[in-house]
Amino acid sequence: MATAGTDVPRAPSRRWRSRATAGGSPPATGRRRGPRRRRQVLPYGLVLPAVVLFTGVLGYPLLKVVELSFQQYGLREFLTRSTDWIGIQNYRYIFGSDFFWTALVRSLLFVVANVGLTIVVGMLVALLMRRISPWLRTMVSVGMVMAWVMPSVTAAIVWKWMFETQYGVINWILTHTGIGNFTTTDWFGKSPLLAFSIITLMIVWQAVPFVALSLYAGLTQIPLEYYEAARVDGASAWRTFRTITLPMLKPILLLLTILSTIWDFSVFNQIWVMTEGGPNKGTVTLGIWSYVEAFGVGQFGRGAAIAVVSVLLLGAITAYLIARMLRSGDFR
Amino acid sequence: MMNARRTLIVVVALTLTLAACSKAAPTGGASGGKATNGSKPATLTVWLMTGEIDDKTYGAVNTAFQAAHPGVTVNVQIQQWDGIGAKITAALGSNAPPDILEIGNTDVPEFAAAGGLFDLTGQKATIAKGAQWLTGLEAPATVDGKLYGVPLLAGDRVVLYNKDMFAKAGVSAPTSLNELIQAGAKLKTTFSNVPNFSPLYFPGKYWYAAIPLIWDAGGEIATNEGGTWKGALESPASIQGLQRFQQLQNSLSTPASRGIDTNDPDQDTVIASEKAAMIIGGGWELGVIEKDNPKLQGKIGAFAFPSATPGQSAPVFLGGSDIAVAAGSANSALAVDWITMMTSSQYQTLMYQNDGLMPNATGLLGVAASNPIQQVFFDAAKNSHGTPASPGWATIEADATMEGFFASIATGQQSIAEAAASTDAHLNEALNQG
Amino acid sequence: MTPRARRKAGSITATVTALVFFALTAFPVYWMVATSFKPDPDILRIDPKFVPWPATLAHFVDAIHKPYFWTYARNSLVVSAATVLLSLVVAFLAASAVARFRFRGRTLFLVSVIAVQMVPITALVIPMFIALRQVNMLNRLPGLIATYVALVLPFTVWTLRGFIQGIPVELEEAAMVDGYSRPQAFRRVLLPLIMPGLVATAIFAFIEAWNEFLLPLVLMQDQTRYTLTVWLVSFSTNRGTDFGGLMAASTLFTLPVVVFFLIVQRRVVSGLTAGAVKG
Repeated sequence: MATAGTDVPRAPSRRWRSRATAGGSPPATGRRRGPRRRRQVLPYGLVLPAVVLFTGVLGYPLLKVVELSFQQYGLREFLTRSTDWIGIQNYRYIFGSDFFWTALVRSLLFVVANVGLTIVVGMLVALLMRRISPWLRTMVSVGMVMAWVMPSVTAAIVWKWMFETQYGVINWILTHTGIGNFTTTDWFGKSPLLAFSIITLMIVWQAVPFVALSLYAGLTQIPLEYYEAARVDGASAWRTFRTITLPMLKPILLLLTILSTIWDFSVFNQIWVMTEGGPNKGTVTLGIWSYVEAFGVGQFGRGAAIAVVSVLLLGAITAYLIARMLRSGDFR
Repeated sequence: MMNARRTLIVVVALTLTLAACSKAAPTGGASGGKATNGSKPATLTVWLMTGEIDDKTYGAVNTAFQAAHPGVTVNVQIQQWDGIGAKITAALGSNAPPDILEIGNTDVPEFAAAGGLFDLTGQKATIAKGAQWLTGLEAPATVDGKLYGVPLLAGDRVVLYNKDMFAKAGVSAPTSLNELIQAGAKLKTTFSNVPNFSPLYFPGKYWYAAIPLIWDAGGEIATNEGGTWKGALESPASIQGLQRFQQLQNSLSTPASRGIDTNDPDQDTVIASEKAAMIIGGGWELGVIEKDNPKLQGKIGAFAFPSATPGQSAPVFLGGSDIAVAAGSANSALAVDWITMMTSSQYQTLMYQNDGLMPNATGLLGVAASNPIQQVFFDAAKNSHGTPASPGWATIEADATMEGFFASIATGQQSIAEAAASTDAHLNEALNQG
Repeated sequence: MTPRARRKAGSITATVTALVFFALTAFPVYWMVATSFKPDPDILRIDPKFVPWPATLAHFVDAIHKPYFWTYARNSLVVSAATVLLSLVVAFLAASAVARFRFRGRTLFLVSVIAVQMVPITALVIPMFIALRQVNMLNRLPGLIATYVALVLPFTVWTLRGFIQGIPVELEEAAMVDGYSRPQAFRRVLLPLIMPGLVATAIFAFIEAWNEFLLPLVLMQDQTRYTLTVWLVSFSTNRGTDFGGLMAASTLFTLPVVVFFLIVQRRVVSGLTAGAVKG
């Protein structure tokens, strides 16, 4: 929990200096600056709706997830509304399953590749958007928004078609432009790595719009004078990027990285539509496995345990990023 | 100060409104009203699946039912297939489930074993009235000797073929597996000039069509020995069936078809565009093919998939649905009456006439006598087979085990022995979890 | 090359790159749209047809005539609009608190908001169902809206926090010197300046609400309460998928979001001007 004393020691920002004077000096007009004690209520009031919504909608379900993870909770228990405590058996099952560890490693590699590409490409596109004319910028934005909002299942189906062995347009283009003979290339059925590459390409394609648009919005907030000053100083594009753009975008970049990591970790639809986990269960990630365990098998208790494990894992992975995001936001 | 306070009041008011919204009065919008001692008319809610029984048929049932039960309204809601498992789960778990549900025959064991469906064992005789229900529909609805669902409609698959192509190659409808392979070879030679031509287009993931080869050889997916399910794909009979599958698929269907399903590309499009002489399909596919390529109208014939034993047809995978009463229904007596009507021979016959669906009893399979192609489907259904009636079968369907199993054999990714062994292990685990 | 020429060449490269990027991004979208106009036999062919000619409107007509289409469309619009409005208000309030004040529980609030995102929705669905069942909020649109808002809060709160931190607090303080209270300063000074952030947040919230499938499927039981996503999957049946219909439906499905985006994206431009003007 943050208190004033434990924050990263930096020069007190002007914000706090002005706040300190507001409370201490006699108010110019008593009505507007109330006693310090009264003012402290406001932030709690502002946060209240979010907190109420959160605890109201998600509080109980979250506790329930943890509770279910210690139960044998299947369709029978759900329909007959009974409980059946089995302690850590669900967890034992998870950690004892070879499949879990394979799926975990796959998920981690998958996430690293996807998030890395998404953020890098998103950043590049955002920078690009700054340099082009407004109508072109609108056109690119609309193109991206259409890609983003395309339902993931539809997108997966279209991509699956495009890469279809006999009837796919990609193989047709590759063969007819002379790059090689692709008439029998099976992108999904032979090699899990190849299948994952296409899936990654698709997910990045759908994820970049969101990142690019958010980063572009952030870019518009950077005062142009900074860039003017840098240009006058003769700084190179890379140096400008590193010293002005990157630090100003750090909070939103960190946020996007964290959210992308979380979302890519649980990807289900796209992989399922394209490979159903094949070939030979070679593309089963943690997201696929947990869905099948929870809904397919009807073992919600186990699904809950997997969820708990996922949260702990994701928390561990993103802890560092979250801490940096908290800190960097406070640096002014 | 005044303004900060005012804002605070607004914020708190907003919050309380939000909170109030989420603790509103009990819902009146849920379906399936309660019959309260005759003071309020009862409503019976029926969930039927899309594309099958249409309003002419159930309308007739409703009229007759309402005549026999004045004051009762029947509310039929048509459901979509995608996500239906989750929907039924949620519905049965809610405070006001629908009274009657149509459930796919492979899904029934799961809901029955979990206590979601009403036990109909005691009333079986009154409902059936002596009809001999199709085993492929009745067996999955029977768990631990108790009946939880009534057979509603059935579907199977036979070989649909292009009569002109057959004539050109000089072959006729085969009556044994060997003849089928020979006919395929002749078709291949005759149409060798057509790129990517398949005598029989048989996608590797098409397990509905592949399993009959196992059954025909005397094998099984899994057997129930004294309450424990055991995967039976490694038995010599099953292995023989799998070898036949591999030979058939690899020689008669294009290499590109080995790892895919019947959807991408749609197998009906493949035969409609004359890239195949045969496919294995259900009754509705005939119409799809003819619509796709009007030139083929009247040119598509049908024959039952032949057995390895000459003169017989292989067992068919019987698909279809049962109809059940929700355990939490407030109108179970009325529901049972409605079901009795819907599954009676009178309305089953009407169902065939209006919707072309296969009725639920062997005695009724003669209704299609006037339609030779339909008759092929119906005759084949006399020798039907179902999937293991274990609630754990839902897992096997959910994780696409069968699709992957047959595809890896067709593509050669795994040897038959390997594939059978690993799938049996998975079956042993999944089927015994119920 | 003169600096001016270099900048010109740079912007030509940028334009070309942007066009190539657009082409690559938009191609799958084009494929979806083109397919919705193709008659069935043209959809999957060995020699793909790049231009849908002859074209047909049959798929669109079928898609719109599916039962309850207009009901679902209305539900989706109502739910999505409500989600956007509610989440913007709630998130803006919370974000201004978190960005401008230091108070006990601030970090806890921020961290828990993110932590909740880590729980896979498939695991939350059943407990949410049980929770809503207990307060009789199953099968009611406000219940659905509440869950959507809760689920988009992490992104909206954190993003707005970032944007608010980008605005110097001196501006609000100047307003307060002029006689406004803190909340009024938030409304009159801060709000307009973080328009780009509000827009990005609004678009995100809208898309999340619009595309959600599992929650309406499980939390609603009445046919009249479902959203458009249920309509979308009705093209996949046990008899295969009606691809032409699915593509037409998907095209229609993405239109409202694109329209919404076009309407609000001009605000990003106005935000840009505001940013240039402020000291």
